[in-house]
Amino acid sequence: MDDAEHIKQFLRGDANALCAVVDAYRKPLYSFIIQMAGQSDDADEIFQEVWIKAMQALPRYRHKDRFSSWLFKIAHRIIIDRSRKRKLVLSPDMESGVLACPETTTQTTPHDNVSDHELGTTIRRAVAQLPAAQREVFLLRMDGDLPFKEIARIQKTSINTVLARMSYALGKLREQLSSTYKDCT
Amino acid sequence: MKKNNTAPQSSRHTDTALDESTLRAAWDASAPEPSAQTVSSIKQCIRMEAQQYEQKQNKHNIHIFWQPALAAAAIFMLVTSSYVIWQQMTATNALWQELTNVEEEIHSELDALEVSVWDALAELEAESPTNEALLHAFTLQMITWED
Repeated sequence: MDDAEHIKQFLRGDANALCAVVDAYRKPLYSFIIQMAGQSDDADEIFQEVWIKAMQALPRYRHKDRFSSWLFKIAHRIIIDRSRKRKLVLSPDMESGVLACPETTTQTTPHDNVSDHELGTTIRRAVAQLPAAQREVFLLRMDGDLPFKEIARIQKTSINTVLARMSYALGKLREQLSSTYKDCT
Repeated sequence: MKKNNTAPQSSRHTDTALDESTLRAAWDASAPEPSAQTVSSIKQCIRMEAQQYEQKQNKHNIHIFWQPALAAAAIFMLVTSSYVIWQQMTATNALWQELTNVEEEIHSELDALEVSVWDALAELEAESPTNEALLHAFTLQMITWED
């Protein structure tokens, strides 16, 4: 059963259907939020707010849209709103990337492959150093698994800009992580 | 939901040992998770909201059941009342036609009666000229009566 079917079930009163969707998006959505917003307490609050808003807006959700795009767009808006309230520069339009670098509060979880986890944490630290707009493109691609066209819609910009941001982000990450790659492999 | 072939276009530019699958595996392995309490409170909200949707769905189902029944009843009443009105109109027309026929019959009988009276008078006049004055008076009376 896909997301759209789960949502239809929920709108008929089946709570478990939406709970399954929450579980499916738990990690990617939270990862996106924590990388964009930083502090762990805020991230939990935002995560909760995203689902509450999504739940309220579900009757208006058009099933032709990708659910993941729709959900990450809600998260994007909430993060932007919060950053404005706090007067932080988080807007994706701010190419300068002046941004409070989020703490990389990656919780250590038991994992068989420690090197994967370590490498992942290193990548996340490097991602946290990216300018907000570039970071968001990278995260929407990695966590949201969104096509660049959808990312352009979320950021309200052209697809060329999004591709350029991704390219810059990857360049910077490659630069920062080149030594780590060699160590890990 | 998540595909494993979505690494950003790094592979095109890779000059290091980090490939697409390594990046994806490392990224997923280090993915943070929300606290269990947060997830649990979200699920609780979902359950409460779902109850409301269930109630709405039940009301909707009741409407779906009753609306056609009400529509059928309304159509039935409309058809019945139309039939009753049509029947009454037909009966009224028949009665009116009957009255018209009776009226025509009365008129024709009166006409016949008038002709026979005049014929009788003419006969009397021919048979007895002495009664001429009396007949004249009677004729005058008839004309007056006719007017």
